Amino acid sequence: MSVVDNIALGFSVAVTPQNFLYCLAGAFLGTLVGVFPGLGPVTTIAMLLPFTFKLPAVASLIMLSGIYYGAHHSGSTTAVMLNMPGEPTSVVICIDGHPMARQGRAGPALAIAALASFFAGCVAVVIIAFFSPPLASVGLMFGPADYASLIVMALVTASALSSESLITTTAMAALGVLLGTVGTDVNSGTIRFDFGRSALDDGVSFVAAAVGLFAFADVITHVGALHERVPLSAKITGLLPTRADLKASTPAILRGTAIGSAFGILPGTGPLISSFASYVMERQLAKDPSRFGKGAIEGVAGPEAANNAAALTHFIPMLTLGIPAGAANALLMGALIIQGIAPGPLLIEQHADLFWGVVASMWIGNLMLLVLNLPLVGIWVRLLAIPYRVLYPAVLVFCCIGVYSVSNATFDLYLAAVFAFAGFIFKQLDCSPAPLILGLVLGPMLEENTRRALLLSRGDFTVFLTEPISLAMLILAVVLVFVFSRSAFRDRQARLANP
Amino acid sequence: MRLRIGDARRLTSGLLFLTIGGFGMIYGARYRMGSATHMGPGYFPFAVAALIALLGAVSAATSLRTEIGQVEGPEGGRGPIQWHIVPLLCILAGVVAFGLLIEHAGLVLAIAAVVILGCYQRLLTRPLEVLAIGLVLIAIAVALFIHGLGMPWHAFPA
Amino acid sequence: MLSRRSLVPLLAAPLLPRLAGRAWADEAAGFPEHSIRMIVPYPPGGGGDAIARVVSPKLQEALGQTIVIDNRPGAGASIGTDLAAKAPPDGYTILETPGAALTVNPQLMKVPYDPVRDLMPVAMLTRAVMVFVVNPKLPIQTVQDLVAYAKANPGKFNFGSAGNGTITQLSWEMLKLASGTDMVHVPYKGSGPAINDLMGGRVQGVVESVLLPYIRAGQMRAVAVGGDKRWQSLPDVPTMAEAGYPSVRPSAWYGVFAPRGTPPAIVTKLSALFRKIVSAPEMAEKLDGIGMVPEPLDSEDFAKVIRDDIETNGKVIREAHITLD
Repeated sequence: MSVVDNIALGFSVAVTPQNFLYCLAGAFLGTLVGVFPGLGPVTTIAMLLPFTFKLPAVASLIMLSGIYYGAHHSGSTTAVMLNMPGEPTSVVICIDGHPMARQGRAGPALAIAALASFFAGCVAVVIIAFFSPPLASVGLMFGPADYASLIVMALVTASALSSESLITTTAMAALGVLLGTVGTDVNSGTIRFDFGRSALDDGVSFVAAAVGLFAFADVITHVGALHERVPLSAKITGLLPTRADLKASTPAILRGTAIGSAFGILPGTGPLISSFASYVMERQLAKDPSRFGKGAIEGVAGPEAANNAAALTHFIPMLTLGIPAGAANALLMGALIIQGIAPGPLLIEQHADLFWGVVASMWIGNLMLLVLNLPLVGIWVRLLAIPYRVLYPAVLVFCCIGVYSVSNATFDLYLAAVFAFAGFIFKQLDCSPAPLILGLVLGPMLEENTRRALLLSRGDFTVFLTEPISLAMLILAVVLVFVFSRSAFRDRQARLANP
Repeated sequence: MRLRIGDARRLTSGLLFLTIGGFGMIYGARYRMGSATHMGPGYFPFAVAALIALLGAVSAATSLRTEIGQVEGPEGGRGPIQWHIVPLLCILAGVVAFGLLIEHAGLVLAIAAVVILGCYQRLLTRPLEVLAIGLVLIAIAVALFIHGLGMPWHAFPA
Repeated sequence: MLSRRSLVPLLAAPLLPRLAGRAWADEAAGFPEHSIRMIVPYPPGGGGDAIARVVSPKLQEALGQTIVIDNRPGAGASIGTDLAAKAPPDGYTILETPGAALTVNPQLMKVPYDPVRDLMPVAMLTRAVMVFVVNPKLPIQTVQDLVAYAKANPGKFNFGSAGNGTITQLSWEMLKLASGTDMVHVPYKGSGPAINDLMGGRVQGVVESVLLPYIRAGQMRAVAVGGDKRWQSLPDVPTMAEAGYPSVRPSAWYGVFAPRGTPPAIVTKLSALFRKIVSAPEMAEKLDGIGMVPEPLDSEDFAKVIRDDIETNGKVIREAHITLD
């Protein structure tokens, strides 16, 4: 069957009114639940999995993919509106998205985010449809040494996440890495820094850290300033993006899509690194980098596109090789298996209708997101007009529930409180939390892969230079250090000249 | 030597990093270090902590040497650091209260605690508003999580 | 001389067990009156979660009450298991977990519960079929080939596991000990990355239960199945026992427990139900897809398996010097 026939087949399977409704229901549920940080696609899918047993395979997948997108996207919505990242990948959206909301530009921010997601989604679906098999094998080519070097390169770019001094951002990133070592060490099984409490055995809960550092710290700061009557958002200047917004966003969206599609294929690291990488790239390429951190639309458009593209291409290893690249993936794979379908190279041949139905459902899910979220922008923005003093208790409650729901562990709440305290202090000391989050997530992977590379090479350090991909990554890292320090130097000169 | 306002922030953060890094080094060294080619569990944390301590020391040192007029960035003239003790303590207390209450006292009381502590400023001036906020949030949470999603939580004291 | 007062207890004595028995059965008859909490010490989608979610709807139907799945991950299943062990023994809290939490972890680290004393086995549900696979590019078809290859290349054969102290490591260590070979253990965070590296050629062997699709697609070659029973989905793959290594008996089962002190009638009722659910034909198909076979065992047989496994695994841990640093 030609590809076009296949696509037609897929769409004919997926675009039934019934499946459409399932998708809408899923997207709606996902959006609702995704507003709570920590309650992301994984938990929602796990909870709703039994419902899908009764549905036919394609319908259940369509519903689950609707949930996935819904939850994914509403993470960005809360990041923009309330500085509350619903998901690890939405942390980057907070950096510029929330300042936009505070300037009364939540409408354009949310609308651009939805458009960026949709565009990236369309492109990614095309990639999946046409290039899955060759791309899947790319993921296999990355060994531990390659991953380690990739992460070094990513961490080097952490300095470009904020406008603070290089020393401060590096220290914050390093602190994140140190926090990441808390918990069970993969290579030896030792439990580190748990201070005798088994609750820390699996590491610092990411959600607790993100919520504490971003959402809670933010609330504390603003409530404290309330008596000075600083409004949450200035007069809302329209719901739609302006021409200038669209013009500025378009290249960012294109670049973000490219980055996301590429990184998403790599199991484990993919989507998270994509959004950070896109942000850094936009910041570096912008003519006036000082706009970033204060509400630059590119800082929302690029990462959002990267995010969604990566989330989709993340499915490639799962669908073609049967390797689940992440928790949500693993669940979806479980759902498939329970329906009697085993993902893997034979999937495309044996269950063509299913594979193409899934691909089509991804696109429909994306479309559904646009359909659902663009009108919602109006509602979200109106929600922001609610006085802050009514809004922030809701933020606190939602965050508490979200943090608790991840593992039903009260310890996570105390941890979030500690991070909130730390986040507040860091804010007052001009230390941006974004590099810390990056370090927290990437640090453990860096250590794990470095030690594994050395284990496999039996202690031979040169493996980092002899593996071609690793070498390429390290060279890139050196180049980036050069580029960043030069532009940071130029920034500083400019600032000293014009205080 | 007078400390400029911008320096105070940098000095504090530098010392903070130095302290954290120091602790990290002390605790990290308690685990097996191994060698560079066969790292033990203590190697990486120790190295990273050392880096943090170093960066903290450098940051603190440079902040002391900054002369008037050479303060970097927009910090100069921003005023003293706002510590916001009361909101800080109340909101944190709310989060902790949620943790203490949710398992045995149930979702309703946990949310109530967060709202009451979070709205500490208004308890006497606008009590009805606080009550309304609390009730709405409780209703949404109970409907969505306990009835809708079937989370294994109690709404009321078990 | 027997007074009337002392006669009464004497006459009542033979009636007592019957009276108590009826109260027993009554207890179970009225059970359950409200929803039951099933603790799963793994995150959604992980460990025993899939089984729990497959089985619980059927249980709900049979009992007419909701089964609430409470995921309590952490500390290698210790957090959830401890919670279940200390829950009130009224039958309304049960634990569903793979064996590692009880037969392996307590021997590697300190856990706040006693796996034998604090928990009552209710029923074993399934057993995961652990298949030993190698990268197909290697000249290895049988276990003998594998051992020969490893002996010819000491210290060069890498086997991946889902982590230190997991069944995936222990199973391969059993083979190492039985064959006297020098193979290197490479731990990963979960089986997914290990499988990835197996296909990428960075490790040469892996043992897991969810490998059927890869084997069928030719991305991995199945060398043997652990234990002594062949698997119907891989009928041509010999068992370790047939290959001459009967001591390589990975024990990866999933079962249900209740806190000690739960009324025996309730345990019996639940046990019978669980076993019935797991033995249903549609269930077998679903389980096959995730590499499991139904193995309904009642409390007594289950308890015996647990004791045996604790001993076997303990031996492997000691002889292979498996520690958590």
